[in-house]
Amino acid sequence: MATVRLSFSPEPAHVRTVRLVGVAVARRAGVPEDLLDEVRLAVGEACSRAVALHQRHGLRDLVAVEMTDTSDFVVRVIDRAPADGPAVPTGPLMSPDGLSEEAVAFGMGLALLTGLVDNLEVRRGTDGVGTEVRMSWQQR
Amino acid sequence: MWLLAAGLVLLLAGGFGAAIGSATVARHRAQAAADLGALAGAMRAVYGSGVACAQARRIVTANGAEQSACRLDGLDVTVTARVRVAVGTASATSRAGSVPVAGGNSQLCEDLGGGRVAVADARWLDPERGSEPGRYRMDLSLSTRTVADHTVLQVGGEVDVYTAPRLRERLVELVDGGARKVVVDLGRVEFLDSTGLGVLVGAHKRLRAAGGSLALVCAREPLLKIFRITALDQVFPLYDSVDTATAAGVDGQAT
Repeated sequence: MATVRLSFSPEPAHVRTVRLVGVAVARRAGVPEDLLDEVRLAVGEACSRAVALHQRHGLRDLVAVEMTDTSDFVVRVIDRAPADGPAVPTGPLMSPDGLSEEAVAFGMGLALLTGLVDNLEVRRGTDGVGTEVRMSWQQR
Repeated sequence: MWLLAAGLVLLLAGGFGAAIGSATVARHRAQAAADLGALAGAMRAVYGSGVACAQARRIVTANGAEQSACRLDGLDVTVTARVRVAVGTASATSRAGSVPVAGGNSQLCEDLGGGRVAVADARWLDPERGSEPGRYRMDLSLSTRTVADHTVLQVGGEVDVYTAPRLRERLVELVDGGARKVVVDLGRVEFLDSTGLGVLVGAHKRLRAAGGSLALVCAREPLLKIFRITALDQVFPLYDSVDTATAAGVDGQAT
């Protein structure tokens, strides 16, 4: 088992760095090549979501990312934003008409996460602050 | 390193060929040395500031300048280069970091053991920090052309939470400038995330409100999958080429 941890300031520019590291660690962990695009997208979506939440609440706290290579490849993205509204997508996708661009992006992000990740959990942070997005892929 | 070495040879040839008599030339030379030094340093950033800055200094010196400062922040390297001329000293600062080069991710990452990953052989300059913009950026490219009565916006590279605002700006400009039949060609897009999708939905709504329409060109399966997962394949007309998009008459979709 190996673990790679990193934290980053909630800036959009850093999300790509995390995506790149995520794919590198996934490849090393033995995640099949044809899944790496999905890992890249899902890691990016989880981090974009965290950055957007921190920015919305004016938080400068770091976003934490932890990648673990156990029997599955597990990525956890942990934000520090207060809980407001549903953290998990509920029901079918709404029509994008009538929603702001930001709201559309947020909804699409969650749709992509649920569509791309074998096993997705979104839960409250352990100390009651923030949320943790936990994603895992089988190393087939 | 090949690209860097080739650039180095060109700069050296140019440098010795022209008489360095003006402050402008000296400034350009200092900037070029700082740019190349920062890039060279960034490629070694994972080995720490000692190695990164030593590499930067070699390249700065080879470009006929003197390295007066070098700093490593995370994986970003900031280099200041100085060129002395008869009229004084020209100085320039450049910052470079590591990002993926379009289409070559597999070559970029090197496992160093112990959970450390080198992201090497990636080059860019950060235009917000004063370097020559656009020279090494490979993150997002936008170009517009007209095909028949359609405005075709070709998008390349990565559309994500960082670059999507630039795509939004361009689309708003096009609509404000009177474009009504807009085709966004995603053929060269390597990465598209939900922020990019949000921008496309926004443009779709803006165009429809103006009596226009938006069509997308997208033939690659990974991208198509994103549109299917988000059900946006039912919102946008998707075509496999610019020709079919413009021939199909985007206007048919507008009403």
